[in-house]
This record gives sequence, C-alpha cells and structure tokens, in this order.
Amino acid sequence: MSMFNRAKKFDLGCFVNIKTIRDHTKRVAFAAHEAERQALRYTIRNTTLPQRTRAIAQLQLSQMHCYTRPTQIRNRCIMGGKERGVLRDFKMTRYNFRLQALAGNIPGVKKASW
Amino acid sequence: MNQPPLIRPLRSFLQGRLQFATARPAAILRPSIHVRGYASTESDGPVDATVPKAEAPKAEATPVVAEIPKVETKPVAAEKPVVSKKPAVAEKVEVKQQDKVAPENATPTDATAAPAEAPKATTAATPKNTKAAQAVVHKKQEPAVQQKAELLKPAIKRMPRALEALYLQPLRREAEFGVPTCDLQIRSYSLRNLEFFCDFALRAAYYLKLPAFGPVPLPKMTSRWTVPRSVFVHKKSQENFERITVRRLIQIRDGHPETVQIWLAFLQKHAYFGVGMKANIFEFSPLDVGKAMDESVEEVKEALDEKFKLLGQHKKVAEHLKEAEDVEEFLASQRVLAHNGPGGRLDL
Repeated sequence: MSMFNRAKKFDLGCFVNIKTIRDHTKRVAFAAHEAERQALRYTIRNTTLPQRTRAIAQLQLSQMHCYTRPTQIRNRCIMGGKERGVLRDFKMTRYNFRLQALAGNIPGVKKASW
Repeated sequence: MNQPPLIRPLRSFLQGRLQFATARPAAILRPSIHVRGYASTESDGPVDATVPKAEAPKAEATPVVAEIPKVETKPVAAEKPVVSKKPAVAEKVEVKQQDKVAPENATPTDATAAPAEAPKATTAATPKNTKAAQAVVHKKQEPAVQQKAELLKPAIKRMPRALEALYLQPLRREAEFGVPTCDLQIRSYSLRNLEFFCDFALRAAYYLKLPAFGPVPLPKMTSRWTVPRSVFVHKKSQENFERITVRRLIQIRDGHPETVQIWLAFLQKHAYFGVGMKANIFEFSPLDVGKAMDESVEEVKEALDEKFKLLGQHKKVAEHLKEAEDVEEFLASQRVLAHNGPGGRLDL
C-alpha cells in the first residue's frame, strides 16, 4: 500500500509539483504491476478457458489499485507541470515550447515560413 | 552550382605558390576558385625529392615555407610517383644542378616526357648528349655552390598527395559486381554538418578500398507545429514552427563485411556533432545463420549491457543522478526557486 501512497525512489528530472509526484508514483506502480495486469487481461479475453477462471480473473483485475492502470497516467509539462496542451514530441506545453523554441533551446526547431 | 569549400585552403595554395598535380592544369593558375576536379594519380608534378627538409626554413624567409606541412609519409592514394627530372629554370646554377641529378635518378626518357606536363614551361630544352657530357664535367661540383643552389630553390613545389586529395572531390573505388553490402543513412537538422560528414565517410571508404556510392539525397522530413503566441486565450494569433531533417544515403557495394564493420566503427568513433547515422548491412552467410548469430551475441553481451544501462540518458547524466533524495528537503529548495522565477529546475 505504501508504494501507492508515494513512490519510494524520488527520481524526477522535471518540474516538481504534487501532481507531478503523483503521476510519477502512478508510472512506477504501473511498471511494477504491468505483467500481472497483462496476464489477467489475457485470462479474461481467452475464450477457450473455463468461465469460472475468467470470472475470477475479472474480479481480481477490478480489485487492483487504480495507480496500476495505464489510463491513469497523464503526460505533464516538464517545465510547468501542466497537463493540458502538452506536446508529446517535446513534453512541454504549447507556450513553453514556443518560449524555448524562440530562445533556440530546442535543436532543429525554427520559425516556419513558406 | 558553387558549393562552398569544405575545408579552409592553405594560404600558400591561395597565393598560387603551391600547386596541384591534376589532370586540369588550367585550374592551378586560378587558385581563387575552389577546384572541384579529380586528382589524377598518373600525372606527376615537379617534386624536389632530393632537397632535405631540414634546410627548408633556411631557404626562404617568406611565410610560405613555414606553412608547408613537413609530411614525410607517402600518400596512400597515389601510386609511387615517377621521379622525374626537375624543370630547367633560367638560373645557370640550377641547370647545372639538374644535370648532375638527372643521371642519378630516373631514366632520361621519362625526364623528357615529364617537363612537358609541368605547369612551369621549361625555358632551355637541352638535348641528351650535351646533358650527359655536362654531367660528367659537373659531377665534381663544389659543395658550396651545390648548397647555395639548393637553398635558392623552394622546398616543396606541390603538396603531398593525401593533402592534395582533400581539396578535390573524394576518390571512389570501382565495384566489380555492384552487389549492395551496406546502406548508410545519415540524418541531420543542418546541411553543412551532413555534407561534411558524407564527404568524410566517402574518403574513409576510399582508403579502406570500399566502393562507395552516393551521397544520395533522400526526401526531407518536415514536422510542423502551430501554437498560440499567448499564454491564455487569443487563439486567433498563432505561430508556426518546423523542424526539417535532411538525409543522405551512402551505399557500399561489394564490400567485405569485416571491412564494412571497420568503416562503420571508424565513422562512429569520429562522428560529427548533430549528425545521426543508421546502417543496414547485407551479408552472405551459410545455413544455420540464426545459431551463429546467437553465439556471437553472447560475446558482445557485456558491451551491449553497458550501453543499455544508460538507455535514454547520457553517460554523464547517469553519473550525476542521485540514488535517493529526501523529498521534503528537495521540495523546500524548490519552493525557493519557484518563488524566485518561473519554471522548475531541469536536473538533466
């Protein structure tokens, strides 16, 4: 249970926010339990297995902690910790990306004109 | 199409004091234009092979001599140049010296042929007989006169061939069968880096006797992003950004797989900044390839594990990352930073 409260190892290289820490915890929890989740999902979806096994697997999966779910993970901005308007290529919000790009801190990116 | 030169030419070359031994002697007379001809290994320029290098600084006080690199090694690219007779110059002493040297060096037949190609036209064309006669007479010349003659001449009349080759297009080897062995794709955000590195790769391939073809320009990859200029609202005013990746393909045909590996390792070792590469290697192997490959993986496993440990990080970064930190201490320090300025600490 403690691992779901907060991840033991604190290795964040970005902007630190309570929300960012929580997201980091979710990622760690997901990584730890991914194999188990995948096995349960397979068991549920395999139609050749007996119904009872599949039902038990379904129950077990639903009882797992929500932090183990991949859908709970959200990409956040590494500069500001915001979750909205984040570009995947740069891990930054649109405005931060613009600031960094204009400063020349992002390799290869320049103002487009055509 | 005027391409900018890839290397900065030697001053003595720009001043016209140092010459090429190329198939296009006309190009030599206009050193201001960047020469993009092909080096010829057959034509031979006038080389003063007998003058010892130690006397070079004494000979002339001009900066030309100081700049000429004293390279003793013979160039790899060229065949062994035929040692020809030096061109006859107006000075009497030099003519005598020449005659003295001629019988010692190459055959007289070559000597008559070579000066015709030399850029400096021979002023006096003495027949063979008189040369031979004079040679006998002047064999016992005074050493003082001889030294003086040598001092008056410039030390080097042309660059070493490997250096010469740098100013010209990279030489290529011929592929007998044309079977592709390696496809090297080079990518970069900037064109100059890419061009330079492609040139470097081609030259390296030549010296490894690998027939290299290219660089073939592959289509550019452009990514664009449109973002609002403002922090909040004002969606109607936006700004466009783009990132263009330029690519080149160098193909090696008929290459021995080990040689190709050496070439790739060499390029990796001397990789230029801002340039990325990926290579597909094609090899002929007997049956049971899978087994052989599995065995070879175990040998390389240690080296690979070292690299995989750092996946996604730079080696220096990995060393600086702390193992465990006190969260509250860190947050306290962050509060100060957040108070002082926007953004967080990028602990990369």
